[in-house]
Amino acid sequence: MFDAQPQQAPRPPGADFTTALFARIGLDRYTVGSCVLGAVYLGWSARGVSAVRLTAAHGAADEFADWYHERTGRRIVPAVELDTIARAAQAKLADSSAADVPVDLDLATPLERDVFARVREIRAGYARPCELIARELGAGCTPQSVADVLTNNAVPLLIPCHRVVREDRCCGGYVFGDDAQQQLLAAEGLDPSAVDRAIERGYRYIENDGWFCLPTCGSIAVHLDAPGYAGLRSLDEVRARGLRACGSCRPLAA
Amino acid sequence: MALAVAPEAGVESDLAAALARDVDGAFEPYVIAYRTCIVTFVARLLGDTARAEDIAQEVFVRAYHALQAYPSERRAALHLRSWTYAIAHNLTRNAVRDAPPPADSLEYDDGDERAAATVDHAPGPELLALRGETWHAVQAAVARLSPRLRPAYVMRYLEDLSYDEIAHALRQPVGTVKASAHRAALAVRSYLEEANV
Repeated sequence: MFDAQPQQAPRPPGADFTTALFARIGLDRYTVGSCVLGAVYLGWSARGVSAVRLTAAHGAADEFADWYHERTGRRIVPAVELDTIARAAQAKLADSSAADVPVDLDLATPLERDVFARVREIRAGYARPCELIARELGAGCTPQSVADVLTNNAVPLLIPCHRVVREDRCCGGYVFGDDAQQQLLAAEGLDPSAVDRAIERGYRYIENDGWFCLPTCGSIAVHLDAPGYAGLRSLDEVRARGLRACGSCRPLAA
Repeated sequence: MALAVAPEAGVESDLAAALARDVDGAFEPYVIAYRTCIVTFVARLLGDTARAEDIAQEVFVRAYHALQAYPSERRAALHLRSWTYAIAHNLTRNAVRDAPPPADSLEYDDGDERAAATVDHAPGPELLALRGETWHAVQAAVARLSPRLRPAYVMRYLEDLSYDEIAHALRQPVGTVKASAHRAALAVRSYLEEANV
């Protein structure tokens, strides 16, 4: 008659009860996380991470909340508890090799979604120029439109737009500033100064043991600044040497 | 000793004060403070844990919109616990309103309880439940209580609300609440005796 293990304890709701509830009442939440650049406000909804902003740039939390409301039309409040999304995002901010986290693209245009999807494919330690991304996205997409989308990226670091570089120099136009982009790329193993020097010499590609790479390829980053590497100024030079395209940095548009 | 976890009175008044200042900012602490006891309460009323979270979530949605609509002074004066239980009770009642009464209800058709004449001084079901000895039997008995008696019983004996809080939540006189809780307790005890628990 008696249950050997009676279940009389109160029954706590599921882990994402509060997340679903906040989605229903239209409130997003934020916490403070940390990354290579320092402390960041990390905002999220039930759909995913919706904002990553440097606390140093926003100052008081109220200012961040105002910025968020102006941008999204939604209110955001400080979180008491972190849910699955927030914990995963904090882990990703602390370690770029951690698993990807969902990002809230509810307000994104189709072009923004396409650009962000391409950018999320770029691995840590690599970077790609706007031009290649634009070419991959096809007609109607220009390097400038890619750059404009990335300048407006509300979730930098998680959508790693710092890995998208200009044609004429490595760092520029990054949402958190050029110094921050340089710092992030360096932390991932690239040497932006060496890349800039290669670009200044007119090198669009770098020869690498029978392959050719972008100057921002992670597999050549180690020796890019050492003397003796072979720079290539055009695809004609590449063809003349019979080189194959690197599968990691994909120097040609897909 | 309560079977559900509810915040202390001081926490309740602090939360009310925080909600009075800023509903959005204080809403998550309020949800965290009450979500477990509200889910548990609804599950006990319904006897259906799967639906309990949905209804509990609706409880907090309603609470949020009400808090937004109330002036600050009214929020500050809220008895949050009984107020939240009141919403939970209303929504749970709505959820079961159209459902037919169970065939094996503990009440007679005339509203009297089979156990009304049973009077003894043995430990009540609530005490037995606290001991963990008859928990499932108590749950089965509670499930057989009529919707009229069940809320008062659950709030009093399983959620440990005071009679005043229950009266506030159910919007009934304290005397009515006491009578309902007592009659329900007798009915549950009778069930347990019949079940040889």
